Amino acid sequence: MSKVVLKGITKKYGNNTVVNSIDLTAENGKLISILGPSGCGKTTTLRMIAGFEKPDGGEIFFDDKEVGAIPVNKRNIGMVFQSYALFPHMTVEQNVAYGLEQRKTPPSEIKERVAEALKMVHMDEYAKRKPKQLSGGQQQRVALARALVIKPDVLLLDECLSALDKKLRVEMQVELRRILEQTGVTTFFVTHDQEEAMTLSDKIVVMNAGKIEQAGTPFEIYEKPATRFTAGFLGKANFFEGKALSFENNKVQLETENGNITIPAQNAVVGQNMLYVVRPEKIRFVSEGENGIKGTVEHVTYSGNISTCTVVCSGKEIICEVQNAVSGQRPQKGQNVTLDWDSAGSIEIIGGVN
Amino acid sequence: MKGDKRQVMTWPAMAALFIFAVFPLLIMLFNSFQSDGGTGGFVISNYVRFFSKSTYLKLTGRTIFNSVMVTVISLIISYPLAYIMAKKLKGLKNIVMILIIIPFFTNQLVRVYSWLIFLQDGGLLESILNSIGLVDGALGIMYTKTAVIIGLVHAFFPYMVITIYMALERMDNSILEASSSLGASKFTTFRKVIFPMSMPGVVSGIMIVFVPCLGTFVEPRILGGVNGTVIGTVIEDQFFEIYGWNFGAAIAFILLAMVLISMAAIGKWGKRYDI
Ligand SMILES: Nc1ncnc2c1ncn2[C@@H]1O[C@H](COP(=O)(O)OP(=O)(O)OP(=O)(O)O)[C@@H](O)[C@H]1O
Ligand SMILES: [Mg+2]
Repeated sequence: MSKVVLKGITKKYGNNTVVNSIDLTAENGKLISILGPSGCGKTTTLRMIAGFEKPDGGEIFFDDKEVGAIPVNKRNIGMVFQSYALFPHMTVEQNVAYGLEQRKTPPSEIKERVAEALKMVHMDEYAKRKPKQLSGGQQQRVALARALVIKPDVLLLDECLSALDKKLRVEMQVELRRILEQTGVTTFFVTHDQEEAMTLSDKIVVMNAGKIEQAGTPFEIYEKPATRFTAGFLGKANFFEGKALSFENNKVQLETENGNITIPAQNAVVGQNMLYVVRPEKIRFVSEGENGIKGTVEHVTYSGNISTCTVVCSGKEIICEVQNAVSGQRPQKGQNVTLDWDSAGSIEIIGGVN
Repeated sequence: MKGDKRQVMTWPAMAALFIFAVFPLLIMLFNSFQSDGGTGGFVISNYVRFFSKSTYLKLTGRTIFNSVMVTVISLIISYPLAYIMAKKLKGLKNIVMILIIIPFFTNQLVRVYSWLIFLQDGGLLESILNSIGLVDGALGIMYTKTAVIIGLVHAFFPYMVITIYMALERMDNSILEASSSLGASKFTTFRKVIFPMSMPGVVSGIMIVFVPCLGTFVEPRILGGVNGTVIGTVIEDQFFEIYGWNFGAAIAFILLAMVLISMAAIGKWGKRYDI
């Protein structure tokens, strides 16, 4: 329900700068995913938004209001912890009612809203149980209900779906999306799961070592990665790096560590070091004799709808994905193949070479 | 088959337990049903004697009163102390813990006589209180119930501190953060989350103080003098002064019954706070 703005937020533990001057805007009612390797500062960032940690520098605004002086219990946030943090001495129902009790909601309304929230996360049958009688996934769902029932202005989710199995997780993602659209609560969502971040988010923030590498829509992050880190972190990626020897007809010849290689590209500066990333699904097999990169299939992994092939082209491994549209037409190990892709498939990472 | 073989290995321990614990207890039980005259017949006169004399019932009352007072005072001292240790002190808490458990390593008599010297008329406490003008003249604490309770609290409260401290210490901090994120003030978080979650520690603390307190006799005797007579001292007198072993044995079993009943009661009450 609030727009959240982080301006130059920094957090240090001793000499260790865990979050380094990050700027971030979450528009009202949007879902922002924070993605990044373990220890990059995701939880710390959430904790600063929540108010558990005081930033060592920078400001946080909820709807243009600086919240630095507002304690956690007055910020009207909902938080789901990495460890669920349910109250072990209370039943599921009492856990969910807790936040409403603090807000002096009338008992009859509490009862109604708790039941509604539990139904929303499919936990209504477990209302009378204690947390220790629930599985990890069930506990997560209760924690989610407990955070949502208070209608927070900002919802902070720290890997809140990570303990669920695939099917339940997808179900919860859909539910979450629906709930968030319904309630319009601005949400920060920390996750390790790229697919989850892709499908759920309005905006993805990729963090690395306390800094924001890139922030953008899932499409931008995947199709136009700004840094080598982002490209490599989200989805599979083939990197082509080297000095551009020549560039004509949307083909660039690169001097790479594996020798010279010519790939499609839309832009190149001859004489300069270039870095391109090519997503595996952009690459296609073309028939022999056509122009392209020649190589040998080294390895094929079958995963139902697609096959992932590792093709070695003069010493360089290129990963490509092909649709298993017609069964029996998959590339075979040891087969000599020719690879090609549209020049738009080579994404130039500017400033990526250094 | 395999299970049987393993059971064999427990036999020596079982035998030792029987010889050194159960067997003497059975002898005591047998004795408690013997008359002091020694006719060898099975009588309940020792038990009747205890329950028909108001002196003994009064002593029972005083014993329970002492235990209750010691438990309550220990709780009042221990909870804040344990809370501060668990939540506020960082590096200091090991030092405080050592200070608290020093009484464990002190000889009981040394500890009790130290209190005697400290509390007696003309003793250190008196001079301190006299000099700051709180008390005028003799203190008059020694050889009263108060002295007994002071001595017992000192002996027992460390157990309570430790059980409560452990309950508070293992509490996951994110649970407390969850409480404040849901809008609770620090005080509400204490009242609704920290305190209820520490109850198992409080319950074991009460158990570990109240129950052994029922059977003490050293502190009551030395610090309480004539005012310190409790069931424990009566049993001791019966065995070592009066040689009324049979009656002594009967009182000991009555005490044992009190111990078991209070353990069961505290345990049952504590079940409510099971997490
Ligand atoms: N209280 C603290 N004191 C000192 N260092 C801390 C503290 N909390 C976190 N850190 C450090 O800060 C860094 C970032 O931690 P954070 O918990 O934000 O990582 P994260 O991105 O959430 O990782 P994960 O994906 O594993 O949960 C880590 O290197 C961690 O060791
Ligand atoms: Mg984390």
